Amino acid sequence: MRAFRFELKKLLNDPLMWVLPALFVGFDFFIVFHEVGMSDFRRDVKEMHGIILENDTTCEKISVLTGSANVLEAYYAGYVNGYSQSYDSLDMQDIKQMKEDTGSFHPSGSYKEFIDSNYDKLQMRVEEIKVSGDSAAAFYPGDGFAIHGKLYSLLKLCIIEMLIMMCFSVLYLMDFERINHTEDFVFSCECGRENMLTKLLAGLFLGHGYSAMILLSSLLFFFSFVPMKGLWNTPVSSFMVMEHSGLWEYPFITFVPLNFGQLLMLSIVTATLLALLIGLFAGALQLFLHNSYITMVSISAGYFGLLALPFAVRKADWIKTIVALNPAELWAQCGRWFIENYLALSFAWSEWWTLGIWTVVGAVFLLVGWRYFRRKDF
Amino acid sequence: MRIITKEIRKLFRIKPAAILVIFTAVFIRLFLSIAGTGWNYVNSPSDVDFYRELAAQFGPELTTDEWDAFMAKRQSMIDEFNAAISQDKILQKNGIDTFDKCVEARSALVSGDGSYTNKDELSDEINRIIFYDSVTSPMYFKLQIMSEFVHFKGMTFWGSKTQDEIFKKDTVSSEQYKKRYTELVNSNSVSLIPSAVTRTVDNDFSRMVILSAVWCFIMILPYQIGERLKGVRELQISSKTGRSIFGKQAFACALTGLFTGGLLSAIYAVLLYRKGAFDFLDCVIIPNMRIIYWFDLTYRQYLLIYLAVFLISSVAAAILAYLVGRLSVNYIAGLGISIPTAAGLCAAVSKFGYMPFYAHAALIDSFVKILLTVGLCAVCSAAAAVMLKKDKVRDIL
Repeated sequence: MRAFRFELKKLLNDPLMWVLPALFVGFDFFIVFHEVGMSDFRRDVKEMHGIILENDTTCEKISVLTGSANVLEAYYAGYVNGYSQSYDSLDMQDIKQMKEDTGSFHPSGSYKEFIDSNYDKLQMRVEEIKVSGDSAAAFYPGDGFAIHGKLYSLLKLCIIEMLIMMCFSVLYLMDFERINHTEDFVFSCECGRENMLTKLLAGLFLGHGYSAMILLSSLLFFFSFVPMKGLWNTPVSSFMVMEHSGLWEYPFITFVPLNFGQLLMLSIVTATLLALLIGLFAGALQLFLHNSYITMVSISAGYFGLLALPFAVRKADWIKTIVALNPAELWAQCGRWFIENYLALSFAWSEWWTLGIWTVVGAVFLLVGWRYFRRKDF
Repeated sequence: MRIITKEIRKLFRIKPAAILVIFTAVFIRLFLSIAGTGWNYVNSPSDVDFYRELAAQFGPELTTDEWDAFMAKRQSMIDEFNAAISQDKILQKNGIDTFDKCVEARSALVSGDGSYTNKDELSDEINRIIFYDSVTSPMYFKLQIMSEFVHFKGMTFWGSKTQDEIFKKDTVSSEQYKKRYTELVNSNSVSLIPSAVTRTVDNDFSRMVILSAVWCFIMILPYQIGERLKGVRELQISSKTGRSIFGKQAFACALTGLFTGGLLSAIYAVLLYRKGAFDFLDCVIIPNMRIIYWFDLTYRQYLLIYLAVFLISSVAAAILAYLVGRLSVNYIAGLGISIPTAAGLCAAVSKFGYMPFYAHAALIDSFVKILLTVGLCAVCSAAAAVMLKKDKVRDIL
């Protein structure tokens, strides 16, 4: 425990490890201010919040608002009228077919059965959403205010910053002895070598601290501009939350019933676990390479490689789903986590499958790395 | 010179270079528009080929003398299209038997107007003809391109309009902009360049700047930090000859940046060549009045300007990497400082260097953006010069 505390101190005493997260937070604040902090947007969002709380999406309320002289009230009513039938003819098999046609994705055999059954389940979810009334809950009009899109773009940016801080925390400590020319002493005994695990744990621990700082401050800043009182319980599947995405215009179909708050909490947990996973990989790779610079460059290049991998696989087969279950692709899908989006990942909890599989791979990699490091001749 | 050559050779080490080559391949595949199978910013895959066909027939510009030949070509294509749809029963039922009527029907269906009997059926049929039919679809998009030229002829070109006629109630546009616009309106030729070839380069430029910055930082940074960690710096500072090496190292870094910029530009040029963009090198880059520039630059000149800006930014990135390397105490600090520094440089160059000489209605910014890019790079060089000057008198303790 004492060694752990000293390792933490080393990291905390480095000014860079404070300046860099501060820069990240500053950049996030700039982005948030640019997206939702402008005076016009703030005024509109505040007024719209009042309108949403006073009026739901029922016909009686909307018919009153339709002829309103207030521009935002009329817009809200028009939006509800325009999109309230979004669920009426929503057929997930049609959506699947269109995605297959536009993406030249034509599965066959057991893989086709798998995709078809996923979309059958999603169709059942659609029926469930209609029956439960989740489809018509009031929220900021999706296309007008894009709260979901802006929030998850911010989260995506925060995740990149979290990954950088996590890798830096782990690698700074694990490369400390080499940089300060003390490795001959420290790694000359078993006890010194075992200290490497303490460094890894301390790096992961403080990496989480930095991640939490970046994530919480950015989200708090975001929600200081966007009032969410009374809207946390809005189901994400409501047609009001829906946002256009290229050709696609249909509500967010979550694999399980989720409201806005629950989705955000689940996303934060997923982002934190993703950061932990990348920190674990950085530590394991450092045990092999013993050079923080090469490790960091390799992690970045590997991340890009994994991002490109699903594009490289053109075959619509099981391999497509297997390669898509990777951490880089998980990051790329942020904003559509736990929501139907990508054909190859159209099943529930695919995000946590990715994390689970790669945690096992990371743990094995770490064990092999540890074995290699313990026997390494310095 | 021998020392500079050796310094450059030290920077190009196998391991980082191998990682960078893989990274570059992935980056190009993922982020550059030019690396895709077709062209972006076009209505159909055959658009650019058709522009090439027009350029081969009429030359880089379509002039007033060639207008009749152009219209004759258009008419023969319309006849072909009309013949192709003449047997279509759904179109016949709705009285659509010509290209113009087909276009009218499509816009009416999109806007929800028109008194057609079965709108869904007609809409599906028109979509089939435009997007899926292997005979009519290419013809439709070729005619659409030709119609655009006809539209611009009717609206603006080859008239003799005065500046006041064009900008009757405009109080926003600057005098320079009005003058330039009027000059283009009264021009007696129109360029046969597809806007896709300029827009692709415009949008890939910022990504190429990022790529070159990544190359420069990854190659230069570890070497500088490694020297500090291995105690070489103290040895260098202890003699006058040793101190003079700092300047040579900075120069070697700048040359490395230049080389990297050149290498990446060559890769990009190959990609452009493979896509056939070089067929439009002699075309002026103003295809219509939507995007206009202060000068009648040809595509060749436009690419050369981008090349110059890109090379300058690569050198600036290399000098910045040298500065960061000299100031960093360890690898993590080096990477940590590089992230905001490189991001700042890339953001600034992308903003200033994007669409050089683009004419904005309210601003007179023909040279300002280029000057800002050069100024930014000059600041990087000045910072390096200050550091090198300090090196000459720095106390070893």
